[in-house]
Amino acid sequence: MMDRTRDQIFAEWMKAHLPVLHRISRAFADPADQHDLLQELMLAVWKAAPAFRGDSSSATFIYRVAHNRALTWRRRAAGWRIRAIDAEGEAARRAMEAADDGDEGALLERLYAAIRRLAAVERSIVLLSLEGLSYRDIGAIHGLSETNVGARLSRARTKITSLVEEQNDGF
Amino acid sequence: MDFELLERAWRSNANRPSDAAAAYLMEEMMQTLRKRRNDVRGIVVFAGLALTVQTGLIFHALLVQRVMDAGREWGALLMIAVAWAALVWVGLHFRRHLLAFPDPYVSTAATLRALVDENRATMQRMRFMGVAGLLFVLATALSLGQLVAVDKMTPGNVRDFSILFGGGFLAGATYGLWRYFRVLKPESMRLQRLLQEYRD
Repeated sequence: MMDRTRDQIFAEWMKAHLPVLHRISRAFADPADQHDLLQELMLAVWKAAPAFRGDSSSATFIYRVAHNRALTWRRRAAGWRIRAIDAEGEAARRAMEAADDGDEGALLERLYAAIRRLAAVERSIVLLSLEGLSYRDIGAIHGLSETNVGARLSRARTKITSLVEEQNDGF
Repeated sequence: MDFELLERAWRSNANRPSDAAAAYLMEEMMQTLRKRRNDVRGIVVFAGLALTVQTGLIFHALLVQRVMDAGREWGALLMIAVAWAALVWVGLHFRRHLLAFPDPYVSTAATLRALVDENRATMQRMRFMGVAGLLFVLATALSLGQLVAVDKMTPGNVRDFSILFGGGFLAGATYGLWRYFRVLKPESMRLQRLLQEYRD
């Protein structure tokens, strides 16, 4: 695939699927690191583009690539104390902005905070479910059976609901 | 709390970046890609050329200019042989990994297994390069001794070269050790933990 063609395909994909990558970055990284992770996800999709053979939809391919990258991503360790403080400050700022934007924005912030507390694979499965993928498609992306996906999702939803309620009580 | 409420929030406009933010991200990514593309090409071209040029120069000196006596200066040939052997071994070793995992995107579990194998293979390559590095140092020392014996270098030249070469080798070895113990080993444990989540 020539570089120009790859760039064109990448641009088309990002037009349609950048919001998905954005949500993945919010779910897998603290606020201070979300931009870094989003850049990594976009780069991973660009690098993977030549491997797309069209035997699945571009959306499924992108989910697969992005979730692979998100699962193995590790934030840069340098200055972690400062980043931790920054992250708390950023989360507080976002919560306040979201509260100004309405209940939905505030609820989303609490939802993301809850999702980030799940184990990595569970987190990925929940995200894919929230994006509307079937158990079968989620299972195909992760190499798990539908039953396994269903059981993990059920546990994860209970955990998330409980974590969000905890945060509600905190407010 | 009803999970459907959370799903509704998920599907709302509040959960999408604005058009302006999306445009900015794309522009930033394209700049990163342009720079990265040049960096990767540069590294590959440089590494490939360096050893070829070195080998060419030695054989030119040996066969064309005839300023090199293979009988008394075979140390240089040993150095090149060690370097080529290391390169071939690394290439074959990496190819084995690629053949074992031809499709990195078949599923995230399969990708994790491929990453675990890649990490293991990288650590193995680094151990091999450590041994090859020591052999290269010995071959270099031998070659320097031979050059002094045929009056092509003075002991002063050898001392100066050793300081430069030794410094470079130590820096490389220090970086290699750091990468092995502070990056690859923790990464191996992290990937294994992730893979374990699929088994739970």
